[in-house]
Amino acid sequence: MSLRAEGASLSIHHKALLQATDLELVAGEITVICGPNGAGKTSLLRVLTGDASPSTGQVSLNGQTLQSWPAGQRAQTLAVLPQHSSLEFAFAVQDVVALGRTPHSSGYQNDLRIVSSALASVDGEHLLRRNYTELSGGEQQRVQLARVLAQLWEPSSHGDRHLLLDEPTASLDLAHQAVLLAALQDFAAQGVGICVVVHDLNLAARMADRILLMQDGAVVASGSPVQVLQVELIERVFGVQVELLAHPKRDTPLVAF
Amino acid sequence: MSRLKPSVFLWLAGLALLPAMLAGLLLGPVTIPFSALADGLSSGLSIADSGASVAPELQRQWLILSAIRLPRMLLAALVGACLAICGAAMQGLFRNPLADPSLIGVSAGASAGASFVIVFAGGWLQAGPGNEALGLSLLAGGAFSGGFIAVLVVYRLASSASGPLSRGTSVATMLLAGIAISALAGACNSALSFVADNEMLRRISLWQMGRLDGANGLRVALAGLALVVIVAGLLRQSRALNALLLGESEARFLGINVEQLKRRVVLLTALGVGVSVAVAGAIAFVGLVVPHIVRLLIGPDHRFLLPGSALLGALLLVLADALSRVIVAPAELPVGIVTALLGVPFFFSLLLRQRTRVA
Repeated sequence: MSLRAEGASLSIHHKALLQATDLELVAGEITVICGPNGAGKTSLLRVLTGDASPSTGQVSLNGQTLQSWPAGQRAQTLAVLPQHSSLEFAFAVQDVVALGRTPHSSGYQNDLRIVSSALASVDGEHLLRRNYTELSGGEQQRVQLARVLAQLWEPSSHGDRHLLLDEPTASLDLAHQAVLLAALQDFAAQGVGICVVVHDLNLAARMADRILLMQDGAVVASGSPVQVLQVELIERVFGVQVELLAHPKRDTPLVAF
Repeated sequence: MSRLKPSVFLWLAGLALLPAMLAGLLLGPVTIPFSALADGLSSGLSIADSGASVAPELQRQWLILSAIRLPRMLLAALVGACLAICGAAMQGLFRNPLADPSLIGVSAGASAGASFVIVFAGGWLQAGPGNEALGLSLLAGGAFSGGFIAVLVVYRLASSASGPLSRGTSVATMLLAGIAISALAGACNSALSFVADNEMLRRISLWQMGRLDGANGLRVALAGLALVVIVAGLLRQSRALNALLLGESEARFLGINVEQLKRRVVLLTALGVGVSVAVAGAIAFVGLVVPHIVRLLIGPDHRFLLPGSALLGALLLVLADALSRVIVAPAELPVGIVTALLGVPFFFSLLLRQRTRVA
């Protein structure tokens, strides 16, 4: 039971954005996708989520191809946080988070409880009644995060849950990156398969069970942070000189440049 | 946020509609006292009754009420509700609070469709006892087709111009496409006027300008039927429309069948605008102003926004129509002019506010 891409590639207007890629997101594991701009991270995510159909190969969710899942059931086991979510309409924050409960019919009271728990898990319970359009960028990001958490809050009868996030830390300060990390680890511990695109290699090392390093639309390395974060590899992929330091308390490396 | 409870608002709007409808019945070039209505009702006069059994003064007043004011007031309420709920749904579809049937060329497209029917199927439109229903349905069909094509073209243009990765539709493209569609529809109208004879010309000119003075039982029935279909259809999409406000991809991730949703909303709004144009011409800005006020009062949740807009739209158009009869009495303004006078300043203020938000 997993989200699995087999030889999935993506080309748009004869331009190859993603070369044939195999990837399996396992329940309870956090996979982090890293790579320079234009390396195909978002394309991989779009193929994995069904936002774009793969040009070749296929993607399956819990043993069934993505396309063959009825939309409503698929949304009960697969939630996605895109890079930018713009919402021009003045919803109250709790209504935005409650949109995450759209695929479920779990009852108003239950949904209300889930909405406030999801907000609390991203340090946003004080935003509950605020107007979404008046929040700062970081607050909006956390509310959107709470929305996708609320979508997967309870186990589903349709299989393992999977959460995919495209640069969720982009506008978060350090404290809220830590909050996000805790929320994701908590979800992973409940058996949710998680895939995150992150730019900060140290943050990646901190949260990942597995890092996927991408370059020019292909996966160039995949494995534990210790296996992937190698000086030669990072210098080759990003084109900058880096040093690797030992973390004083953890056994993951620190990347300095 | 200090907002009304949606259910409270719906009750208030529903209750306010009753005195407004009463005003719509009683106000006009001939002001009818409330006592006449009460007397007529208590004497057991029915709508179809000519009132031969009562005093001549009451008989005259009852005739005005039942034959002129009642269908007109009902038509105003139905068309107002129709335009406002279609405007609200269209703004949800475009994820853009400035979408309005008249601004983005849907009304113009519907008018052109109606003109087309008048010129090329004029034979069936000749006044005659059996022909009126057929003529009106043909007109409505023409207006529906014109509106449908217009909304489809504008949506395609506006959503492709903003690119596959960005969210929402581009306001600029949407309004520009609306201008282009309106210009095209205007050219069609002119070309059709060119080949039309006098009788057709008179009919065509009716569609350029929204007015309610042609109200009769048949038009009320058609508008009522359309409104029932639209309200029932759109209310079932209200949760999906809420999700769509996040963006098309986000709505898909929430399990919404986005293509089906778009198809239904386009069809239903084209139906609403087409029928409105067929029975009352192009009445501008109701679909823009009303949903905006409702959003300010109770927020953008479509489950309440859609019925709330329908109620407030009915209220607004009934009052605007009563106003149009009183302002220059004994003459009257076409109600489209009244709504435009109310709506244009409102639209400018919205546009200014949106610009400062982007800046």
